[in-house]
Amino acid sequence: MAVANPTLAFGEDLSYARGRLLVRLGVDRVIGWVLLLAFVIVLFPLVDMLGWIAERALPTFTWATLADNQIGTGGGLHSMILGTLLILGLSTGIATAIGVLAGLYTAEFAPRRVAEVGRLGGYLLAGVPAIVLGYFGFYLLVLYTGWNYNTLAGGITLGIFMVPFIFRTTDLAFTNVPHDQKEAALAMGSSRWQYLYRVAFPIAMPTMLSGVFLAMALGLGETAPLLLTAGWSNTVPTNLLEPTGYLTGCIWNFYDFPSTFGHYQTLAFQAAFLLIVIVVILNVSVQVIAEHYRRKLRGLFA
Amino acid sequence: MTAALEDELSYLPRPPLPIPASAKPRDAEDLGKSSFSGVHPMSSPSPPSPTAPPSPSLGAGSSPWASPATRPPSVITVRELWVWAGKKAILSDINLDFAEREVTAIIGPSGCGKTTLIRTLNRMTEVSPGLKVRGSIQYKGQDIYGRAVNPVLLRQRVGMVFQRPTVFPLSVFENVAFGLRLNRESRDVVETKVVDSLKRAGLYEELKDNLHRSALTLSGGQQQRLCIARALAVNPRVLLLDEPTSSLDPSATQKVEDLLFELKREYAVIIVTHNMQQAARVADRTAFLYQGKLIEVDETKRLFENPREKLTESYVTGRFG
Repeated sequence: MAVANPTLAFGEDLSYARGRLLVRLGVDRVIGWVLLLAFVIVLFPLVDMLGWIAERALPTFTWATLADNQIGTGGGLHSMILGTLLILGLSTGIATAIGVLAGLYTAEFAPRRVAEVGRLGGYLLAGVPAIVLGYFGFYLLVLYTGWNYNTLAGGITLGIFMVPFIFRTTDLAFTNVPHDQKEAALAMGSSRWQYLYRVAFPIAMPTMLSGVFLAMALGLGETAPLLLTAGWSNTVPTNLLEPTGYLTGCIWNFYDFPSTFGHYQTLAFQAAFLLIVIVVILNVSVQVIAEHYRRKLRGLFA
Repeated sequence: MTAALEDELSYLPRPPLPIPASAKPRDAEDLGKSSFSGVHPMSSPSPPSPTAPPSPSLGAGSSPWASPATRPPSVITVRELWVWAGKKAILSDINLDFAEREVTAIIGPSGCGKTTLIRTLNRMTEVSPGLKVRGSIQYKGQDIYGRAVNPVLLRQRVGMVFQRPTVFPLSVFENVAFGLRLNRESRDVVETKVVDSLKRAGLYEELKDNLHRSALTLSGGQQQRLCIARALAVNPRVLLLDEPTSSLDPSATQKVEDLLFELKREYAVIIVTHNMQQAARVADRTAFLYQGKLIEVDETKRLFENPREKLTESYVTGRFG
């Protein structure tokens, strides 16, 4: 600990802390350490898990892993990758179309009461467990229609799962557009739709996009609703009313195979690895796109 | 007074082919570059008042319209206007005329209803829910709150500029073109009018080399003049300015005020300001509002130097507010 500089009068030595001040500085330092620890604990599983998966997935990861269908105890993830992309495309299309329109309605067109009820509904739907949605999809789209397990049912069910996220972020994005922009547009004689389309849309775009990508990342990881609706297959579906495979299903099916069938476990790890890669790509691209828009809007929210 | 084609607020479809002869000279003039000729540009059926518009060099106080008899015709007439927010009257019994080619300032302490008053004039009160408007406001003889009146047409005739510059996140060009695009004007018309409006707002020289830069990169003063240009592009008759310089520095304020002298050759300008010096500088007439009531309206010079009401006198001499 520093010693007071004798050439300075009492209280003039700026490098000599004592008493209460010393306690305050100590508390500050301890808090810094605690926060750092929490941060490390947050990141540890990510890093550790990535290593753990990569270690098992990568040594045997070849072009064949992507290009071959799974057959018997061999093959790759080809049909499951296509199945995942197909289901995700369907569900994103459905959920974006409906979610964005519904969000526009509550943000701009709905009477205040209706909008509040709608937002509450969005929260509730977002909270419904995915397996319950899956059961609903199974009952409605698999049994009731008589289609049996099929890709379309998987897409629709996953779409229902994703809708509330897109709906809520769209609503938020448009209600957050600065009010004076709306007043200015209306004062220019624009209709509500013209205001939305020409002024609010570019401003709301980054938030809306984040919503869509977040929903995609969440949907990508869902397993239960797909098991109950899209069923399972290890070939590429030739039409939407056939069952299909998907990466999450691969993990679910193969994670507990005994090690004598080691190839199955490896496939599960490779599927996990691919899922993580796709999520990373989604996240990075949403950042890049949102940043592009934010750059254009700099100064607007000042 | 019957309304000219352009002033007809309830007229939704595009004008039919035989355009009234009276509409032609104005259109032709507007498509020309700049119409600072001093000629009254409107197709108003009544001929413009013989009194020449005041030269900008004349101070605001020296308006030539000394007596009501020689004042230009009024474009907006407010009669018995009440605005309610729930049970509270924000404006009570306002009677006021706004004349063509005049700058009218509305002054008064914060919260006296200045902003609400000008917002009633183009029905922007409807955008903020919970306000009830009663009474009559006529634009060229048409009740603007009438059933047939289309607020979109009204707002094109009665343009508005807000306290904070509110440029859209578009290019300079597209900002000015905004109202024209809403009307699906042709490319040539848009081009001409954008340049013309920027010239009128005194921005063209500053920005002509880069009309496609983002409007958000402009300075505050430029943004505010851009907002004025944007309002001018759709051919308004009346321009409402809600404290247009309160967020600007003195030199930007100066530019906007200079602009007002130009604008009043063609438009009725109504400006809300909390700055009495500004009212004295720019306005031909000044209205003093206090607690939602119109206390006094008069020629600016008289209102400031020789007010009739005690309340006005205490306010303009800075005893309250």
